Amino acid sequence: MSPLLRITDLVLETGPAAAPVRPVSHVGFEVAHGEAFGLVGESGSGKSLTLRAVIGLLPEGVRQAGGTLELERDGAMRPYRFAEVRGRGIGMVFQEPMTALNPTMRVGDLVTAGPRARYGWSRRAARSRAVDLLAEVGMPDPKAQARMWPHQLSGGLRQRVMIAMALATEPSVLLCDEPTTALDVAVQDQILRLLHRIRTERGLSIVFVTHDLGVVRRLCDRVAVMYAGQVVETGRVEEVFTRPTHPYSAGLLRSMPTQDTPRDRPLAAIPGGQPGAGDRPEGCRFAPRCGHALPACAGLAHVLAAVPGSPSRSACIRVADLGGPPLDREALLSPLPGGTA
Amino acid sequence: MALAPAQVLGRRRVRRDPGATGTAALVTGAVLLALLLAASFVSGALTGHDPALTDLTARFRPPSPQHWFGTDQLGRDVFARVLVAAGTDLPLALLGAAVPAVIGIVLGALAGYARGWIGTAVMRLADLIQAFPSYILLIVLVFLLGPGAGSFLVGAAVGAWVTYARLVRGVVLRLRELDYVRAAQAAGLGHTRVLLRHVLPNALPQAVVYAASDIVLALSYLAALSYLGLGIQAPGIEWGQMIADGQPFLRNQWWVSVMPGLAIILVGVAVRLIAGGLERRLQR
Repeated sequence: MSPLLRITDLVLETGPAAAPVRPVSHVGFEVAHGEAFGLVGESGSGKSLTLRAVIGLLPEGVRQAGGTLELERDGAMRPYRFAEVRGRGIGMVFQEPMTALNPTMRVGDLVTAGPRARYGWSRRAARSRAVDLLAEVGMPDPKAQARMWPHQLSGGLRQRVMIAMALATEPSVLLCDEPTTALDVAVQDQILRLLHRIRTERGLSIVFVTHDLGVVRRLCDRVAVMYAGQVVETGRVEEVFTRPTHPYSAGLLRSMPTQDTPRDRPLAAIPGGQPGAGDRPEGCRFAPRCGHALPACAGLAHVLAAVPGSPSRSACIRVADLGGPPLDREALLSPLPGGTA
Repeated sequence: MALAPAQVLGRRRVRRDPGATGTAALVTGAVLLALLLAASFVSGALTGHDPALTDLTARFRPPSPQHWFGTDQLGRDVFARVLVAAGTDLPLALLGAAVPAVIGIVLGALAGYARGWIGTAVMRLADLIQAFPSYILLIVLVFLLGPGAGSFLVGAAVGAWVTYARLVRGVVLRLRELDYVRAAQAAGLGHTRVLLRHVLPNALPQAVVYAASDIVLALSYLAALSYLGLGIQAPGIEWGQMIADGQPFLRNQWWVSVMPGLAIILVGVAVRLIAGGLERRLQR
């Protein structure tokens, strides 16, 4: 599969230029055509900032201090300017469907606002296109819904509107910033199926940011696990979930309850907490919490290296000694069946 | 999903309740102003008197069935004059509130959205203007420009836009970080369109409510200027000017000054109703 989006050495800074804090340091990943890529980590790991940096919508006070962003065009990877890809190659779905829709515009007008401005569509053409898009994202009675105001819709329907809005610009990559986190589980499932269907039908690439490993397992082909502003492990989802090559990912997976987890025993937990962007340790940032840490880990440069005997790449030097039986997640977390929604 | 329309209707009905009293106040205020304005055009027919006709044999007649509001020192019918003056005062008061509101909203939205040197320049200018007491600024400007309606509008605009700019800038600073503004940017919309379609409509309600109550302020500015002889000049007729003309006779012929004063109070009440109604209707 040929690459479509490539992020290399992304560094994000905040605070005064003289003494900056780096919430994201040297993050890189590559997304292929038609691939769903998961960016997973806890709150504060820098996953959402990374995603926003891809389209240049960083929050106030955070700036990109390094790294290249490239998108495939005409068969070659080329660095892009944000104005070129917003509303063209890259679309974005936001986390909070309650605050991500302009309350002063009707749903139909909102959905096609982007392409209407760019291509000068007539109001009539834009309306009918909006109805088509709302139908594509599974809105019941799209004609009537197009005339609704955002506050009249439920959270799940609003999230569908958000997705329609992102699709209206015919992107090749869809950035999803925890689009299911604010929804209840049943609606979450519908939205995941919708994203999966759209991706299959349109041959779209998806970058999916979440802290929910189950969602990654269901939707994504490949995953990057982020910790304290760095990618610590990346690989194919089924590999990472069954044979994690970093103690942090292994710990995360072990802490997930399954149906077989005894109810009277506390869930496995990783001791300690993730360091904030301002007080990260030297060397491997996970070492202070790691059961496998060696003295050498404190002086380690961060490198994502190939792992012998595994297709994953890991930042851990103790991969060979991690051992343990492969984790069995298949029973609980079956992937989405193709083409259904 | 068969339930969806019913749900929507139900929600709307609940919402309409606080709006209903707002609508009543809004309509009452607007009707009062409209009646006053309409009366100013037909004052002659309504009162049976020419507001400019002097009759020195009928000076200082107290209010009576012939002259509802009495007559002034030149024997002119005060009721007819109060009504005609509404045709001057109301449009100028509306413009006097609207012009600074528009300027302030535009500058405030720019300052909040663009920030950087534009934002700094706008806000420093606002500080500078706010350093002067508003009446002093108005009087000095009008004095320099010469009396008249145009000078009044310029003077009012220079002083009053600052409040709107601060108000709208504050709201825009908050809105610009919201996801729907980011979403509009992500959809490829340019800054102008994002600002006009996605930011400004959400910042306007508060400014509009403020502008409605500012109409009274503009009216009092105009009346104060005319009272000082810097506003509407004779033969134009204006409430503040009438109050000033009647002032020497206030002790014995109170109606000459008090009647136009009551007209100003009536407008104040009507505008307050409109502003209150708008506020209740626009609050979410």
